[in-house]
This record gives sequence, structure tokens and C-alpha cells, in this order.
Amino acid sequence: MHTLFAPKHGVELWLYIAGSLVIGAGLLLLLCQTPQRLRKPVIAFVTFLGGLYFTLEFLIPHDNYFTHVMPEVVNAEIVVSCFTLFIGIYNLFGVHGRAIRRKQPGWYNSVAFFAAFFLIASAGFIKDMRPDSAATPLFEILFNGFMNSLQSTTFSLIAFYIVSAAYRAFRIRNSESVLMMITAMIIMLGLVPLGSALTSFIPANSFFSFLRLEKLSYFILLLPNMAVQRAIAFGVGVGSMAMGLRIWLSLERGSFFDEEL
Amino acid sequence: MSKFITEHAPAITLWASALCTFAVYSILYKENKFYRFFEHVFLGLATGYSFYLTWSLVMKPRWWDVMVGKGVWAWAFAAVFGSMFYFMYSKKHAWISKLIFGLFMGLSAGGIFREFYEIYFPQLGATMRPLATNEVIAEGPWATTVYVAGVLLFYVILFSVISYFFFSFEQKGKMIKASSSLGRTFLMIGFGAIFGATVMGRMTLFIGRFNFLVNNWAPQVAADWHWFKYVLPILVIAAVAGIILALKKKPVETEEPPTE
Repeated sequence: MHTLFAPKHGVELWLYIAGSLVIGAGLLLLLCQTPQRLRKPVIAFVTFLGGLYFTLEFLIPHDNYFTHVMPEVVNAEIVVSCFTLFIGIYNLFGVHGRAIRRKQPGWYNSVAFFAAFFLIASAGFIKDMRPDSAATPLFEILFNGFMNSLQSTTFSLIAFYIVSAAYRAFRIRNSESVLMMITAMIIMLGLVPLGSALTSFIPANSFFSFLRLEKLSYFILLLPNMAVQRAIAFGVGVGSMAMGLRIWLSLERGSFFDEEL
Repeated sequence: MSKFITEHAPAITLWASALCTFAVYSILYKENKFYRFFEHVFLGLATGYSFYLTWSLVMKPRWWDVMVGKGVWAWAFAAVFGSMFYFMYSKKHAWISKLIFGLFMGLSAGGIFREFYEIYFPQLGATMRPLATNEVIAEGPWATTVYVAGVLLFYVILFSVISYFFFSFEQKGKMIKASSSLGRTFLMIGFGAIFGATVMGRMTLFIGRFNFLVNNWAPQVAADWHWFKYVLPILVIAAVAGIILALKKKPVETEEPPTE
């Protein structure tokens, strides 16, 4: 067994890789032949096995076999999950490729999508292979000049839209919305110099110094906000554990679990 | 071309940043082609960058280099497992993709127990604070009173908010009803704080972009004024023409619903 899994090199390595792929393809073919009635139990079993690994690793005292192989398992999890990236790319290529083929309105935007995709990806790969080439400054231009700016500007747009959202959310309808509005105002003002300036007439060392906006804002963030966030986090924690248990034991219901296979 | 890029990279970056900033902010006026174009450029760049990053930071060092470089051939099976996701495109064998999704969901579900222990247990410990400590008492009666009041307030908020989330039983009793109502009030304070912090976070981004235009881009425009003064009138004329054309454009006729 040790010899079988020992590292291989040269032609032998490629033969082993090809053999693994053939065996994998065979296993997939075998899965394709699985009778319909067995499909759900197989999925439930595999889900249970996945959950069992981390549960046993956690429950069995330290220095167990599961802890020893954990780096490899986590690495395999990361690597296999990375293959899903191509699903997203495949979908985007399908949508934009169709738009170009059919000359749909705004098809030139799809051309821009493909150009941007290939330009930054190829510049990145070439930059890694030949750091002295023009790909390095090109990558810098695309990343810092275009991507970073587009990203931060797009996110900053929310600052404008959030104003209209705030208007709708903070329309004074009841005492609770008033409370929320006042808290948000104190936090916003407390975080900018204007807020500090507004209450700067209150001496910093006096008894009423806690009424200075920056101190009030700090107090709200540190005490009521912290307590609320903790309470929500505990609720989420218990809920996620219950949900984890339901998924692990395939008790969960919904589109993913109830669909005909 | 490569020489031009290498020599003028900082200037191109600066002007590209300004162009992108104006393009995105143009949506604030109205929906336009300029914005849509740069939106797709952003999408393409983000996808291409993710692709490059996933390969060079994860798949190459963790998979390809280990499999091909170190000769650990068994990693080839990762490709087999990864390929299982793509069965979602087959109507007949879509269930195979559910198999791998199920494995990942199981792994995540199993990881939750450890996560609960590692994340929430320390938080629980940190939350259950004593009303006062020796260090606080040593600071004097006033400091002790303030500290105790703070801890008590923390407990009141924590338990009242937790009681608001009790859905396992009907909240019938007077005590639980009052506690739940108080919890709802404290939740509003918490949401207000979160909202305020979010708004300020977005404002920081906006200030960042504004700061870039005023302190980085504008001085460059001033420095390049000798040629920019010829470009500026063209840009102004183009902008005015664009606005006039946009205003002259007939509104899109919408189909009215049939009336009886």
C-alpha cells in the first residue's frame, strides 16, 4: 500500500495519473447506473460520512487519526471546491457568448466582458511566469486603475442609495423607529469630527461629558450594541448547530432534499 | 506597445481610475450606456481576477504542484470529485452533483460542532462577567458603581434580546412578554447602531473616491494642463451634446393595460 501511494516521477507518474482518471471515470459510470431508489440513500450516506469525519475528529480526544489527516482533508476540501469556480465562469460565458452570437441589444458590453476577463487573467499568468515583461505593469493598470476603482466606486454608490433607504426606514411611525433613528444619528455623528464639534461645548472632564456625541456613540457601540450582537450571535450559533444536525442526518426538507432524483 | 505601457503605467492607472469613477457615478444621473459598459468591464475583470487568483494561489500550489511536481498522483482523484459538480448540467444524471454537494454540506455540518465550541464558548465565557473585580473595587466606589451598572445593563439587554428569540414556546406569561418587548426595543438600538456604522462605512468609500479625484487626479490634470486645455473643450461639448440628445430622446412608449 505504501509503495502504491509513494510519489512517482516521469512517465510512471503520468501513467498513474491517467490510470486514476480512468478509474474515476469508471466510478462515475458506475454511479450513472445507480437505480433511482438508491440515489437518495446514497446521498444521505455520503452526507452523513462527511459530517461524521469532523464530528469524530472533534469528539475523540486529541492525537487521533482524524486529527492527523485533517490538513489533507481540509486541503482536499479546498481544492475540490475550487472546481466550482468554473461553473460560474461557464455560466457567464454562456450568457455573454449568447448575447454576442445573437447580437442582442448591448452585445458590445459582452465583448467588453470577454476582453476584460482574458486581459487580466492572461496578464496575471504571464506576470507570474515573466515578472520583467510588460504584463506586470499591465496587470497593475488593470487591477489598480480599473478593478479597484470600479469596486470601491460601486460600493460607495450605496452611500447614495442608502439615503433613500434611510428615508423609508426612518419615517417616524412608532417609538421603535424613533429609537432606531436616534441611535443611527448618534453613531453617524459620533464617528465624524462634526459630531464632536457639535457637543464640544460640554467640558471633557465634567460630569456631563458622557453626553458628548463621540462618547455617547462609543458607549452605544460598546454596551447596548455589543450585548444585542452577542444575543443575536448566540441565537445564530444554536440555530446553526440545530441546522447542522438536520443536514448531517438528512432530516432537512426543502427543494434540495425533496426533489425527485 | 509594451514600452509605452511600462513607461506610462502610473499615468494610465490614474486616468483609468478617474474614468472608472466617473463612469460608475454617471448612473446617479440616469441609466446610460457608459455605465453599462464599465459595469461589464468590472464583471469581466472580477471574474478573470478570481480565475487567476484561484489557480495561482490555491489550485497550483495545493493541487497541481503537489500532484505533478512532487509526484503525489492520488491527487488526480480531486479532478474526478471536482467534475461531479458539472453533472448538474445533465438532466439524467444531475443527482451525481447532489452527491458531491451533499458531501460538502455534511463536512460543513460536522464542522459546525467544532465551530460552536471554538467560537461561541469563549464568547459565552467572556459574556458571563462578574459584577465587579478587585481591580475595579480598588478604583473607588464611584468607579465600582458605574462598572456594576454597566455589567447589569449588559445582562438585562442580553437576556431580554435572547428571550425575544424564544420561539420554542408561546410567549404567554407577563414576565416573558415584558422581557421580549424590552428585547425588541434593545434590538432597535442595535439595528440603529449597525445601520449608522454601515452608512458611515459607505460614506468612507465615497470620501475615498472624492479624495482621489481632488488630491490625486486633479493635480495631474493641472500638471498636464498644456495638452488637457485642448481636450477639455471637446469633452465639454461632447457632454453637452450627450445631455441634449438624452433630453430630446422620445420616452419609451409603454403598453397600457387593456381597459374595459
